[in-house]
Amino acid sequence: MTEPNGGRLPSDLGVIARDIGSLLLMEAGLMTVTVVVALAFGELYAALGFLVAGGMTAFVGGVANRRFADASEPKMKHGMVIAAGGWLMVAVFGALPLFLTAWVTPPAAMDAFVPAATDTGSWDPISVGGTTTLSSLAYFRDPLHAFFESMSGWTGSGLTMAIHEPSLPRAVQWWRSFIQWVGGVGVIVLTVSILSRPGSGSYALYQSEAREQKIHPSVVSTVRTVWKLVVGYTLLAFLLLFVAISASGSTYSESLTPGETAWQALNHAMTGLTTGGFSVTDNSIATYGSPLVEATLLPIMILGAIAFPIHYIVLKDRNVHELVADLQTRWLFALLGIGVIVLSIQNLASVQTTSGAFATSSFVPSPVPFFDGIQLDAIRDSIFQWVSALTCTGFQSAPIGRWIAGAKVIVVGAMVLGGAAGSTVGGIKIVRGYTVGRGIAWQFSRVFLPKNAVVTARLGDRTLDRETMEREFGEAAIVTLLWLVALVIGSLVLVNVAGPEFGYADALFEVASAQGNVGLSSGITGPSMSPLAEGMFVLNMWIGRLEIIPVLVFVRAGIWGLNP
Amino acid sequence: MSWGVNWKASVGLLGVGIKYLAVTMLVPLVVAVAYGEDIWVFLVSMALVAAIGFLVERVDPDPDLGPREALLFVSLAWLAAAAIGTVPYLLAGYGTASTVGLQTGSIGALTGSISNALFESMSGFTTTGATVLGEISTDRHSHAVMMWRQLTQWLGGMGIIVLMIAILPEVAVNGAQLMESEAPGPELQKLTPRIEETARALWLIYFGFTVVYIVILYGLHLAGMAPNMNLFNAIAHGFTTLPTGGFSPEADSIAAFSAAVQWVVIPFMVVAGVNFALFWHVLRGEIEIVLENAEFRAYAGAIAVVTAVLAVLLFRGAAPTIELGGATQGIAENSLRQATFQIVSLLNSTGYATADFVQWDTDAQILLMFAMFIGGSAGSTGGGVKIVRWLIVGKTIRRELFTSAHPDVVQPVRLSGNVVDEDAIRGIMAFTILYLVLFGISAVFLSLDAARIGIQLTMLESTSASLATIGNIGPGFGRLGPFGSYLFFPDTSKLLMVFLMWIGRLEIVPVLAVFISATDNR
Repeated sequence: MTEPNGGRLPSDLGVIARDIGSLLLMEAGLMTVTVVVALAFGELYAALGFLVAGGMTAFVGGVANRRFADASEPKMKHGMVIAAGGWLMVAVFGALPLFLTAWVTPPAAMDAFVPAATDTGSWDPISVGGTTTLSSLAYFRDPLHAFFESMSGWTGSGLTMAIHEPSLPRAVQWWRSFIQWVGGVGVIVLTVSILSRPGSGSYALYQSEAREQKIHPSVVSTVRTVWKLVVGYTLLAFLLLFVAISASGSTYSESLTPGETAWQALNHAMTGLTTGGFSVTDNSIATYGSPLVEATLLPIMILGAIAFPIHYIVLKDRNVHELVADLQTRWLFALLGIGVIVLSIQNLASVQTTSGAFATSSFVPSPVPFFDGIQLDAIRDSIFQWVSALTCTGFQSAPIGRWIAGAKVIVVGAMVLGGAAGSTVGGIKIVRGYTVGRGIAWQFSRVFLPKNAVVTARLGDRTLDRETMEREFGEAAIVTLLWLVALVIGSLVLVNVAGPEFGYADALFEVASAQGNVGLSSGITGPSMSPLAEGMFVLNMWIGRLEIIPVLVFVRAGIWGLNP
Repeated sequence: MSWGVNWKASVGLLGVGIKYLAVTMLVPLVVAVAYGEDIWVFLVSMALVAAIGFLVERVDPDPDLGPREALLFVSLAWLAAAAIGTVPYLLAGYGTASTVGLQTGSIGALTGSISNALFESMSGFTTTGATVLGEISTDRHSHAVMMWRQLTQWLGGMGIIVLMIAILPEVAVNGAQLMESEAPGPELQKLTPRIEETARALWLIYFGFTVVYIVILYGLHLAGMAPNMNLFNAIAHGFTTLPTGGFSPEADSIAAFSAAVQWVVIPFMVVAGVNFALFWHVLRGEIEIVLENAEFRAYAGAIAVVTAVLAVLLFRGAAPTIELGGATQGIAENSLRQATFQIVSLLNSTGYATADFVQWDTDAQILLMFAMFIGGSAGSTGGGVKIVRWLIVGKTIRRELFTSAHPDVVQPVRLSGNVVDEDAIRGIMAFTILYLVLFGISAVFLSLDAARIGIQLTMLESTSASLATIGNIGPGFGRLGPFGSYLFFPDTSKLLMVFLMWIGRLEIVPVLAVFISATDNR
């Protein structure tokens, strides 16, 4: 290994390389699980792809882990670099099985993945190796598409390059859901242990001495507890969804075999609970056309947007009151309520001027006072899309690209804010928005007080002294500002490369969706988008997941090293 | 009602200000006499305004102002000036087709004409430069009214100088007071020991630049290099350049004048965006203080870089050949002139134009929009977020990256070698976020409000309308271009933009501080 900076860097580099190596070893384990899935479905080419990818990942991870086995314990300064670098490397290697599977599967075999009963009249054939196929797997022959998909999965975003998800091999469908599920747990661990430091909102809320809310002292036990919660919730969500899809009675659901229903329920339970948003159906949740399925998904998505330390407390103490006592959860419910109303009003007002903007019409058999069928659908879609946006899930039940600009911008607001810190949501998070708001009001309220006056501020049910409040506000303000600046720059770039049929509202929507790790799309994202925009989205998803600062620290460390 | 603030004192002082405003109407009155126009408009206006001033002054004839009262005073001052400033517009346009003249045909026409006049007047006093005059010409509106319109911007500029030196340093929340108090630096109130003397010194600089500028412009006319720049136009533009205003009595703005005039306007616009305190040092021969000033260097650097990029774009053909502005593709002088002029004008929030830049390519327009975000220097008459805030935001972020990895290290943020007060840093953060949020919410509202009456705004139009008013810039994009108008907006949107111009000019803080502190502590 080379030794830049006169030998100062390697000790840090060793720590970082070893820990990222461990992450890659774990990822290789996940790939091995997927090999089993592929074999179970008899998908030999996919099994081969995942096996090779797993081998390569294990090799690189193992070498890094072994080579630096004697590096010192990671310190505070390494945490952020490991987190940012780890996410990037895991996404890079996560793209490998997609890429390899797409290349080892012969085009003729790809067509077998397209479900037999599907109407493929509107699908564009993709040319591969001198012939064409209808399977979206072929898109992953482009390494950038594969990387995009992997980053979108690992960051829990849900924007996808696979236009027609049902035409993917089961193993690939499983891999997409699986990495969102595991990535979600990774984020929870990240926010409640590694990124939680003085001056960040989650520290103030969940790690204060006054309220022993931090789950466990060490990362390992945190992971264990979070896993138990996530597995439990996922099983619950799976059962609910299975019943809901079976009972929904729509033509699509009727056509599913019980096995297929279970498969869809499992995948959507995994990606819904961790607010990821990948789906295995062609038009996300709109495929079902079923209010029952949508209504079942609402509580699942909301569960995923509540801070996990709160889940833990509620379940351990069997005390639902803790939900209301928590500042973020309280605000989450308030925002869900307010947003649904505002978005519904905006969409109701636009029903006349937009065509085909809402899912279906007349889902209620008998007439309802005050609203006609399409208005009810506008309300129904507003509710689902608002919840999906604020919880940063990204399940889509309506063609949002056809909504008017005002409605898109309102949804952008939800995607920028996001849900509670300490869960799997993206965005700037409720606690930060709240701290910035409180901080600004606080700055003004003491304009006329002398500089050394004793002042306190309240954050949730905690009373913070001046210094703590200043730190909290300073950190929250910096992240918020960086977030907004990145959003503005990203949307300005995108509006230039996205093609004339998309307006600025679409560009803003799409960038907010990527950076907020949401996954709703106004129609810009797809395999035909410009590579510049696609690469930018990868960056947006990465910085959004890590809340920007760790990525900047990572870049800074890459250029100047970690030492002062 | 007690607000924890002696509002009578603030209002009483307001009366004094209004009386002075009546006196300034002598200028358009002289113009009216010179051009043989109706003089009754300004005679009546003067009498009316003077009477209002005397009445308001009676609220508290001997005002005693503390910091709260001073803040309330400035908050009200711009509102009052804008309200008073509508009087000549309403009177002069009464019974004519003027968009700002009083219309009494129906309730809708009445409120419409009043909100138009208020918009134009607020745009003047906040040195914004956005206009709702349907047709800009001295034939439609008399020379006197057009001169009043110019004068409001010059008066607004003087008001800003007082705001900067006497009021904002009292409240450091938005980072107006950047340095630890013992640090030397171009802090305004320390130029001279007393506020009045400092104000006088700065007004003198402001006045001096204006006079020199008018003399040069008129000199060009006499030398035959600027056929349209007669004495009226020279004075009119003299009134709106130094306050970074942007109103022009010519419908074609500066495009109506020769290239020589355009080149002369550029340096004076640059000057208008520089911290005026620096000129005080120049006068005393301390030129090195100016050169070492971080904000001045950033300002000059930003102009140079953005201009260079735009000039290259224009040279390579980012602008079609248009009537105003001419061809730029392959023409170095015109590319450089158009790029420099537009960037300087939009960056420091003046708002003049020498080309219809809404017809340029999208990437050139986005570059202009980027320049609009930057703003002038603190201590100048420019609007926007202001360069020094962006500098400190950037340095703070850099510091944050360092301290995230090394939590134990204490590292101050420095500007021009001086330590910046931590409280000021947080104030700047609060201001910048508030500014961006207000800008975003207003853009959404403007778009929805226009849709309400059946006008579809493009995203570029709604965002630029919001940015151009809260940043006191003036022109936007699309229909709001430099030769366009804000006339088509609904009245509610116009009132929102009046509010944005007001709150943007006052840098948000005084308004909020008065209200929040009044409800909070007492």
